[in-house]
Amino acid sequence: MYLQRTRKHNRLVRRFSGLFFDNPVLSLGLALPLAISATNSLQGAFCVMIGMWATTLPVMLFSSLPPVRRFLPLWARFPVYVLLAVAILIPVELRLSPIYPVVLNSLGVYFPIIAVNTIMLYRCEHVGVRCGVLHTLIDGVLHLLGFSVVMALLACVRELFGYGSVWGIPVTGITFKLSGLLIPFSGCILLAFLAAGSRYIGRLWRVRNYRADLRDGQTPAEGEDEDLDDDLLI
Amino acid sequence: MILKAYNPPHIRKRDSNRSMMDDVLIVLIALYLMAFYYYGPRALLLGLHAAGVSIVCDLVCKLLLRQKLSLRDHSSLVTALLLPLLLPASVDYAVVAVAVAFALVVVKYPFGGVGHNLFNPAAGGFAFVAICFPKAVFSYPVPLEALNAFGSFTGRLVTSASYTLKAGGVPTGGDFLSMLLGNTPGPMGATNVLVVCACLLYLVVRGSVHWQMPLCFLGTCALWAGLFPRAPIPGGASVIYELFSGCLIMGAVFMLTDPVTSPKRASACVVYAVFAGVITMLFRRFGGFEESFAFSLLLCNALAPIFDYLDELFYRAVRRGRFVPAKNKKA
Repeated sequence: MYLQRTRKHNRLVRRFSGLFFDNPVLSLGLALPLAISATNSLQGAFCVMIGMWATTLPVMLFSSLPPVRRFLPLWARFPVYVLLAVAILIPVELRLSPIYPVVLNSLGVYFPIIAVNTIMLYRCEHVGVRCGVLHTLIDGVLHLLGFSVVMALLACVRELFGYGSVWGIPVTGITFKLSGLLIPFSGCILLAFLAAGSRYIGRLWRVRNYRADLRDGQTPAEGEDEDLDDDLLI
Repeated sequence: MILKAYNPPHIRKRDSNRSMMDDVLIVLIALYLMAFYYYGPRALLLGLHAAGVSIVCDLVCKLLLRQKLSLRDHSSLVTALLLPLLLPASVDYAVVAVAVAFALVVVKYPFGGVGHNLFNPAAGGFAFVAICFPKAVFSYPVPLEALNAFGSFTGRLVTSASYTLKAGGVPTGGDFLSMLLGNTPGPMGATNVLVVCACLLYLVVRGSVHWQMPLCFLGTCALWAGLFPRAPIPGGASVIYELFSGCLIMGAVFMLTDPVTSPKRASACVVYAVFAGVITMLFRRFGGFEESFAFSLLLCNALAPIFDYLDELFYRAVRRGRFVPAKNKKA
């Protein structure tokens, strides 16, 4: 088939959108305050991840329910999502605060604002109200996995080179600490570099597949119009 | 008519980017010689170390950006040699490396490299190490005391006149002549006020910097210092201490006048310099660090395009007013 590798790559991108390709933080720029301000320690990032998983998935599933899609008016959707998220987040915070009191205190306002996080609101409207429950669940899991990976990576780097520890455990061998990595300004910069890196890798992969297809010397089959071919779209 | 867009610096005479940078390198060498006189070979080694780090960072960044590798561009070398002069001679080699790497890899090349950077790289590098290592950056050795050339410094460190002024006290480090000649604790290259002024004169005569900017900036700072002294001293003494302490004059000569990050027209430069002077003195009074010129410069760099824009609007309004025919002018 014409451009076989490119088609296979595009199918992969569509199926796993959110994990690496179209990552909510790196590609779509969602939930940036959480990614920047809550990643100066791995424990803080972990608490935020728990909050995100606990609120975003149930709210996305709720938005994909047929009665909700049919009867809930557009103007009422966002307030209902936020109220539902708050109702879930409060017991989560009460459950976490005896285990991580210092961490939750240091997060300050960045834990409660999970209730209005943009990943949840965007995916509810983009996927939840248009697709079925299963598709919404898969989409939510992939996007939250992508978010978690970015949070964990940023938190590890910032805590390791800022405090010289990981999860509060000092790492031997790290004698040179950059305390400037702990302020949000450095989180912005690191996130920007991560986003540039992921875009670079994604582009390398696409170009590699396309060049391999062209080297094979394939031509479109008779009647095949590449402009109308869904497999060539991402 | 074909219009071509060129990136700054916009040079109209038989000069090039390289000749402008070479002029700055020549004056920086003079500052390094003075630093060598006061602090020994460690001052020169810090400069060489910074230059080496800048060459490596340049190579890596240009390879990533797929730009042509060229030895003719000395802008990174200028940034690298400027940074140790803003720091104490007792600073660790690793701190200098972090400053240079941050200046080039984060502040300069991600925005496109020479002619495209929004912020002054040296100011960015200094700001980052000031946040990361405030003790190392704001503690100074005493001039003419022996410093070990390699490794960490283990001798006596003192505070500078900036710290005393920030605390509301009167600096007692030295007399006027000592402050003029650099025989006071402070940044390695910034305390030699006389040499820095000679550097400014050279750069102005060579046409590498706009003379309006450092003059208006220092004038604004002097006026502010005279009207609102931070210590219980007369206005004249306050002006001397404020101008001669920290990196004010050095920043005005080498960083404020960066042709890429400053406004392009002379009238805009004047307004920009006055604005930068006010912001710098506000940062000095209310900021967290004793030396905050780099932070105020970064803020001014972010606003520099607005000065160009407003200046252009002003000139267009003036031109429109000039060319309206007399019979159409309403009384």
